[in-house]
Amino acid sequence: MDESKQIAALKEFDKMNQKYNSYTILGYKVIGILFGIFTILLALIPIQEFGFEDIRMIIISFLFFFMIHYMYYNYWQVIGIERHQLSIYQLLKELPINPNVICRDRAKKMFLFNIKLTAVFIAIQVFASLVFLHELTIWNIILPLVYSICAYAISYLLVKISGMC
Amino acid sequence: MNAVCFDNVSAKFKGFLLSDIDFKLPVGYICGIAGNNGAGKTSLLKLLMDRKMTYKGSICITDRHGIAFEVKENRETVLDNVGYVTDNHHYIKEFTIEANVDLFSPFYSCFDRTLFNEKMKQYNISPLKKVANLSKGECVQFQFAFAMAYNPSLYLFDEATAGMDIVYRKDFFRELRTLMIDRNVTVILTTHLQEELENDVDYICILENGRMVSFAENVI
Repeated sequence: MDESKQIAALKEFDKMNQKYNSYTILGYKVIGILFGIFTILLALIPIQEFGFEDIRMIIISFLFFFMIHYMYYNYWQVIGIERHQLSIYQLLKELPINPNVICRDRAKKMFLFNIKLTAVFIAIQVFASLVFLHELTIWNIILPLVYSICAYAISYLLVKISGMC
Repeated sequence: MNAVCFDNVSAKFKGFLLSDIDFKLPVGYICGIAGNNGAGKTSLLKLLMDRKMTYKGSICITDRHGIAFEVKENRETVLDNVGYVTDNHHYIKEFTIEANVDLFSPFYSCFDRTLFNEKMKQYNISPLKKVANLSKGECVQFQFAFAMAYNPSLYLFDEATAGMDIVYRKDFFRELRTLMIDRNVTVILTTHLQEELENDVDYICILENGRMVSFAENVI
């Protein structure tokens, strides 16, 4: 099968996975939303209020930001079945689909999600900074970008370390 | 025309060495691979199925359209043209047969769902049964039916009849022969059973400590 058909087959697989694994996927979504709520609340605190002296708040807000990524990563990279997880690459390794096709598809999904999440985070930071402090600094934009790059890099490393791609 | 050609193949993995694998199996025949435990029978089949297995030499397979290609350069085409029945399968045990088919059938270029359903009915296995609850014989039948549905040119059976009674084995080989006549497919199976080697296979390949010591037509 050429690549376009393999991608179509992967989409069908994802659709079926949502059908048969709906409770686990719902679990990822619920946890992702909870982390999302905390991340938004933290994003409402302009970075100027943290100050760079208190690195703990920066790390905490990054961790919440990353956990949304991690839930999204789990959603696409692993299949959770009755309290254990199967890597999608292990599951599909004996099927006629190139693992690189799976990697590229998942990397694209993660990247697009990362961009959207970062845009939301920047928007909230800028809004909060203008509304509460009536000022805007470059760090309101740079710090979310740093979070975004770190979160994507960690997700990528997780995939590489596991030998999936 | 040869269904599969191993040309001076050797491979090393997890400290085990397969070497001197050199044989050609014509289309439409059954080859039995025999050897003691640890001789390399499953590893030989894995050379065709496992992407991570690298090897020296050449392994060529003929697909359902009669086109031959090198295995290591065309892994996806191999997997689309080879049916593999084994204990260590990739199906999700916690899911039903129907769920497994829904999940995995889209990856094959020509999966005949109607044929699969007919075969499951013939074997009297409900598609709503979980794979974990299948007996060994039923699991082999399920994998066999799944493979038949995508019409591979080559079937690999890894100890598919081990532990089965004689009635089951006779039915299994009868069905295999019918399939081979109808669809002109080729079969490689690993077995410990002397009876199968004597009565049911056309070619015998013997492995010992990872080396192929013999490949010949079964004249018994």
